[in-house]
Amino acid sequence: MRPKYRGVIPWITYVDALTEALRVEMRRDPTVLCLAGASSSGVQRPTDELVSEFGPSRVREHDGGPSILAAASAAASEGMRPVCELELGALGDADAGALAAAVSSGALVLRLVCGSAAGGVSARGWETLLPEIPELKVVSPATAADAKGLLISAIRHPDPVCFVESSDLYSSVVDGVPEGEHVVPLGEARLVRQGTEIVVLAHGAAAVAAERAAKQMPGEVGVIDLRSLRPLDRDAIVASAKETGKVLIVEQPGTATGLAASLVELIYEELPQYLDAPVKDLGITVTEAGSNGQWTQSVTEACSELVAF
Amino acid sequence: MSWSPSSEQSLPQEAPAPSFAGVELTVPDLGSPDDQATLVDWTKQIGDPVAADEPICRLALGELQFEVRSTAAGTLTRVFATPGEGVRGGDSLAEIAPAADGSELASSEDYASSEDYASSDDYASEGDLDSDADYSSNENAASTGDFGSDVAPASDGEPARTGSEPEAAVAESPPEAMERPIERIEPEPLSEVAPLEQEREEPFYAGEPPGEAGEPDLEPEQPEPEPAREPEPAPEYEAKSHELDPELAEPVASPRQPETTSDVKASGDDAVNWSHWHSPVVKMLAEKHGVDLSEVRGTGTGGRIRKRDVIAHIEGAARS
Repeated sequence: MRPKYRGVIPWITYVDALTEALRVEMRRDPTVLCLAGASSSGVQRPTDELVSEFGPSRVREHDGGPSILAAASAAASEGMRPVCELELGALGDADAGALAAAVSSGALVLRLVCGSAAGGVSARGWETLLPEIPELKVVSPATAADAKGLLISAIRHPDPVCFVESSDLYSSVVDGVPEGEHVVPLGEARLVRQGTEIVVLAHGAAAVAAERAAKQMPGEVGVIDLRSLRPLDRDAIVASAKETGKVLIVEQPGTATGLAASLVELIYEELPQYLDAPVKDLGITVTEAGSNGQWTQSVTEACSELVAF
Repeated sequence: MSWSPSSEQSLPQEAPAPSFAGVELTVPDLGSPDDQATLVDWTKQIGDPVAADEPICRLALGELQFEVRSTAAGTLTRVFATPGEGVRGGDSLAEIAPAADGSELASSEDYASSEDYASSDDYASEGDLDSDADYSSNENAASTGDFGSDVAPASDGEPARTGSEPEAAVAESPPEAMERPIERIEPEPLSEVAPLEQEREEPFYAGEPPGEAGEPDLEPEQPEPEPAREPEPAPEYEAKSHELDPELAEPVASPRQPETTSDVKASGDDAVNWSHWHSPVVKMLAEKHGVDLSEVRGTGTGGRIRKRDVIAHIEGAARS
């Protein structure tokens, strides 16, 4: 038996953390497969380094979303544990059916790559592509440690899991990651910062921008990185919203369809009497998200506006 | 893939093998580099005119057969596979010499689209079981008719060629007929609707002055209460503050009236609304701690009382 936990890798990028998670799981479990599309954008991908260790039979390259999904549903129904990499920009309406079929075929992990390098983001958002079935879990990490921990627990989860990652974070996010089998349970949000005035709910790249914005208003702005979008960490959201009374939801582009609605619904359902201001939803346009500084700035503006309200 | 041209026909223009004078058609992506498809047959022969998006051959991948369509309009000049031969994704299949000049290309593309109209019209009108056959014959006929007139000497004859032109002519006329009634309908309602909209919009935006001319039925009776109606929420809060503290209702009510009379537009409304709007948590805290909100100084937007103002007020009261 390997030791479960040895120490912390001090500096590791988001993409290397994903590679690390895949490597740990592929060594542990021979049924874990990686299915990736042909590299189109030129950015480093988590599966690039794995081919040399596990060979092309376990790290497979496919030509497009439909082919990956078909292979994944076949593998999942045979009891394998496929981890697919799908670029969100390349997925269309026609793929929604294949996605639903893959998700219902068994335990598998769909890594949905969004971000400017992955063919941009569709205006309608990826949430409309995901079938509304209760078994489907959706996670979206913002740090390298969470990327590793959530991917490992997604692979081990008995249900299908969508792992939404932003390729913009691949090399820009660097932090310490626990070595070995680091597991972050699904369904738990991460309290990034505590604040007295407002709380910002965000995930993925938006959480990174929110954290930067919050640093400019220390003590006032709290940030919760949701990490797990299905199921939501209702307790953490309700507790923070109750404490501050003002909630700002920041979404990365392409996610403006379902998440904010469910968050607003949750907050107004659970604690209408504790609100000090209407819940604000900041949808960031694609052009704004392209430059990270601009994104942070618009989050900062929205925060100060809401604090002053 | 081998470069051997098919043995059936001699090539009209022999070009050096690696360079493509025309457009190269390749085998589409088969899903995996290991997959091999089999060429079933050529639906077009060398020398045949080909329209853009027209099938040129059929491939079989296992049980599945599919067509490869031309990406350009022109003439099929070379083929690189014989029926029964195996091909892989990305292999060269054939070469298309594009139509001689740009205008012909454009016209042939236009023609292809109108041809779709023609066949779909036939579908709709005839609707019998033979419509499939009609479709295919029309398609072939139309395309060959096009190129027969534009580009090339006749190749292997397709019998329906002469019949295609009248059909195409018929087909082109229905779209025009479709457009005309729409054009006729549109201007009439527009001329009627436009003045109505103008009449409606003006009183909304301008408030008082159009109110005199615009809706004479309602407003002469109550010209003065009309501006007081606009901020509807305000009276409710006023009523509440009456309940809490009757003395305060009057000073609150008096500053509000000049605001509404001076600022008719939206900005004024916002300011009024927010200063009188108490958030749920403010109301709850006030109720819980017995705070009279009229005594709390608001520091939020438009003088709104924030949660921290109430808390500061409660704490201040506790200290003193």
